[in-house]
Amino acid sequence: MNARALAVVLLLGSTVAGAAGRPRYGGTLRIALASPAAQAELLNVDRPETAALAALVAPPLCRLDPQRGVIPTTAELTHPQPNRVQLLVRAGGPRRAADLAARWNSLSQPGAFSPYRALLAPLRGVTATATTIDAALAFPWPDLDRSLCHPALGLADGGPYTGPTSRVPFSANPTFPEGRPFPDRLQLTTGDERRVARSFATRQVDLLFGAAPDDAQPSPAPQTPALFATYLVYRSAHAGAELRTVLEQSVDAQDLVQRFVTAPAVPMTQLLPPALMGAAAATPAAFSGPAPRAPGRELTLVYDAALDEHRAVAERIQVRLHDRGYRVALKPVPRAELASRWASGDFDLLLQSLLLPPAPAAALAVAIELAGRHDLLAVELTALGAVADAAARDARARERAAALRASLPLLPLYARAPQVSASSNIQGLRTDAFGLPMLDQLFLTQD
Amino acid sequence: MRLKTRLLLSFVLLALVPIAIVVPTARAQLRSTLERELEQRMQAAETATNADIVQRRRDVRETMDRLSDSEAMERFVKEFHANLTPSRLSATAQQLIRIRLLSVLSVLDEKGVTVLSGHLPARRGDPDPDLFAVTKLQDPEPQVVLVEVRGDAGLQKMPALVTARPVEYGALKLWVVGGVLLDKSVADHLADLTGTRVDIASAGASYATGGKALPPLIERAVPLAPSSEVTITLALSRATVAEAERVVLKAVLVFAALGVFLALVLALWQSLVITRPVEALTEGARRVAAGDLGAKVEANAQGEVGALVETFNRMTSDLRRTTDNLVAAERVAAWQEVARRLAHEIKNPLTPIRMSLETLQAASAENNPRFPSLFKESAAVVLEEVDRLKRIVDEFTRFARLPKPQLQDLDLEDLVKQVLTLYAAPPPGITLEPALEPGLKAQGDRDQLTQVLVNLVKNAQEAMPGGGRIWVRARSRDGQAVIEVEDTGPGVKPEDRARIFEPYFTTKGAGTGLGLAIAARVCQEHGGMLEVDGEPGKGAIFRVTIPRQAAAATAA
Repeated sequence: MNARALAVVLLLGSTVAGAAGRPRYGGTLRIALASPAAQAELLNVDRPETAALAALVAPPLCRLDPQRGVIPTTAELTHPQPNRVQLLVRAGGPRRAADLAARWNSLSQPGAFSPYRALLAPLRGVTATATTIDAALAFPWPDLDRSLCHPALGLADGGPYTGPTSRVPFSANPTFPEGRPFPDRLQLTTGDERRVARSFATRQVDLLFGAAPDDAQPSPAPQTPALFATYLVYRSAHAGAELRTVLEQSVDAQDLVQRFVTAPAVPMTQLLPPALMGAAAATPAAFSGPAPRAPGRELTLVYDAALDEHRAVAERIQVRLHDRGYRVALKPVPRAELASRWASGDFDLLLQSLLLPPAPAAALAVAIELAGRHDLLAVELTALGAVADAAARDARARERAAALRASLPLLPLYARAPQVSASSNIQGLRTDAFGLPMLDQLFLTQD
Repeated sequence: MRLKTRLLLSFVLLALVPIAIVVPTARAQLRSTLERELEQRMQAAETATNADIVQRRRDVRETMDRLSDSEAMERFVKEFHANLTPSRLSATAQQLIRIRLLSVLSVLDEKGVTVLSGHLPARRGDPDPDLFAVTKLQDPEPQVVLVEVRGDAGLQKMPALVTARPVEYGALKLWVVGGVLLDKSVADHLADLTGTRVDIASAGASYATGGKALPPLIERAVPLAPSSEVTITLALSRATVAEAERVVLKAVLVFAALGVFLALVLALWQSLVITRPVEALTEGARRVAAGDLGAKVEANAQGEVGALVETFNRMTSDLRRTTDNLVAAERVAAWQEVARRLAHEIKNPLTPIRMSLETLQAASAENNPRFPSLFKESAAVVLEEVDRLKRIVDEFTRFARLPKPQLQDLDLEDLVKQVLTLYAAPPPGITLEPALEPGLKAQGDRDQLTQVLVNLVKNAQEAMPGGGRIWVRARSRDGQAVIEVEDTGPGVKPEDRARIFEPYFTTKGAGTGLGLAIAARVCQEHGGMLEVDGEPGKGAIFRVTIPRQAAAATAA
């Protein structure tokens, strides 16, 4: 197996495609996704397996390179005035700019169903004129450039590939601003972990997402930034004051990562993943005091029904809370209902995964939004935005994340990174600052 | 109680008594039969349940034997030894469970920590003392253990038949503990198999229920193992028994009601057949008693009742004939008595006449100088006696030829007052005290009724030569007008009361004996009557009663 497949776990970003030969156009890129769903939700950016695919049909506005920083792709951000921003949309013309402005305005509404709303929190009065989107800044926000590269804020279509479903191969888009991708088509298949791993082992697919090859050893930790953070959100009004202590004492993130989460993942001891906390990611002091018990207390934990990983984590939390006297009913719900319940606060416990931006301040904003503390959001972002130096701002954001950890009604659990394996005929695989593989730059070689 | 009512009640009783006897007996017999059948069903259900549990134990034992020796288990241990990802291990466990038809499967390490769990994957990494205890028993037979499983509202304990097998791979030693849950699917299966409601429970906790059974219930607990508190309780509904009883009872009651109804109809018909001639006989007897001595009973009757009707009719015919003969004889006797009394009355004046005439003859023959004076005296006597004879004849004529009353509307108060004016100056010592109801009306002959009242008042006066009180009352009573004349004289002796209204019966020295007879006849002609009352020695009461309406008088 080792002779036929090359496991590239998002570490090949620095290798130059040209090292394996000259890129050539043509061919079909076959991708296997470890997901029970027959149809991948391409616009779901909360999971590594689908976030990279989403970028194929719904491209982000810019690319965030680990070394070079923000690289404009489908749009370019400018600051004509200190308190105003303009975004020039390169792909799709005025209609796409208008659609994007409408999406942003919708996402900025107080009742929006996505915590990614926090990424647009500084913007006021988003309007579209021709291919330009104009907005005012409520307060200085230097991290807006990095925030806008988040896949959730990208265009709805116009990516390097086109195609609505997994059943029809995606076709290369010749009008993509960065140039037509090398493979002509992109074939997507889904299945459980063992099945897609077998497909990869038998060379039926070129790229394996979300599963380790059969011959691979489990990685002790992800080797790319793990920014797909999973939180357990609770409603303190529903759950009671002692629940925080119970959760802190009974839910062991390390236990989840080791036994219940598909590797690679890292436990989150802080509000933000270790990739963002850096040296500040020290383990907080353990909750002390007697272990509270609440015999017969009934709670409901809602989670995304499409995610086996969330089911396993939810069941583990159920077991741990059961040992503390809680009766926890599990309620798997569709993704849309999960978002609706989160927005309306209709839950006791809720599992939510998010792709955090690689900027600590922006990531903190998303976490605060997820916790439902809108009152805190403007205060924290205004203070952070006032720090002009990027490194100082990141450090300040890490301090605030550490300080806010215990006060927000959510429990950070773990952070995942994409798990990608490529066969030997795949070249040009690189990752961006989100840790996502840039699939549009792949090309096929002959073995 | 009337004969018809007695007949109806008798028939209804005849219909109800057998029902009252038969229904409880039949009901008890039916209940006994159904209870016996229920008991047989329960026995069969218990047998089937025990057989099913035995089969499950055998299946678990054989499955675990095969699983512990299988390649799949060997591969799993290898994967575990190779430290494969948790999701892969979990998938393997799920496959093992699915393929082996187990619902409980855990792999424990030597310390009892859950390495993998197919039925509760989230227990991975936690000790499971309940299942680990099974590994200590060293018994290949499945044991009843309460296993933690996931339910709709959280984790819950569920009984299961589990057994443990050791699995070794090099130095690695694991325990695989597996079996089947005794959950709702088992309860449903047993319920279908036995036709009972199945409740898998232990003291104070119910784990699974299958099937339905409406109360009231008959229950039987089937222990899963001698040392286990978990039992399978089979419940059969007695509702079918109660329903059967109810249906039978309802049918019986319907038939009973129908029987009672038919009995009532029959009783009514028979009572009509029987009582109609009897009622006709009763009516005939009543008519005979009312004076219709020739009353005939027209009734279609057979047998004894028919003979009775015929005998009654024959009896009334004989009675009528005999009565006619008797009346004729009495009439002859009455006229003989009248003739005798009339002859006696006429004979009395003839003696003085004869003596006066013989005296005159003797005086004339002797040329008695007193002849003229004797003639004068004798002629006076003869004339007086002739007048007496004439008066007797006139009275008798009046009695015999009493005219029909000329009825007219009369004001009796006015009539009585008019009569009393004739006695405005009564003899010394006599007091008249009228008591008249104002406006008392009746229909009658004014002259005849005046004659009756005058006669009665005059008799009262003559009965009290030494003086006394006379009350004259007039009032209405029961649609009739009543006039009473009461005095304080000697009254009427009881032995005279029967004859006092007969012609020529008198207790007075100078009476003709026709006054009260005429008065009584006048009253009869008016449709009424004249009665005598009072106590001897204290006074007499003569009471005239006449109808107030002419129709009544005419009919009478």
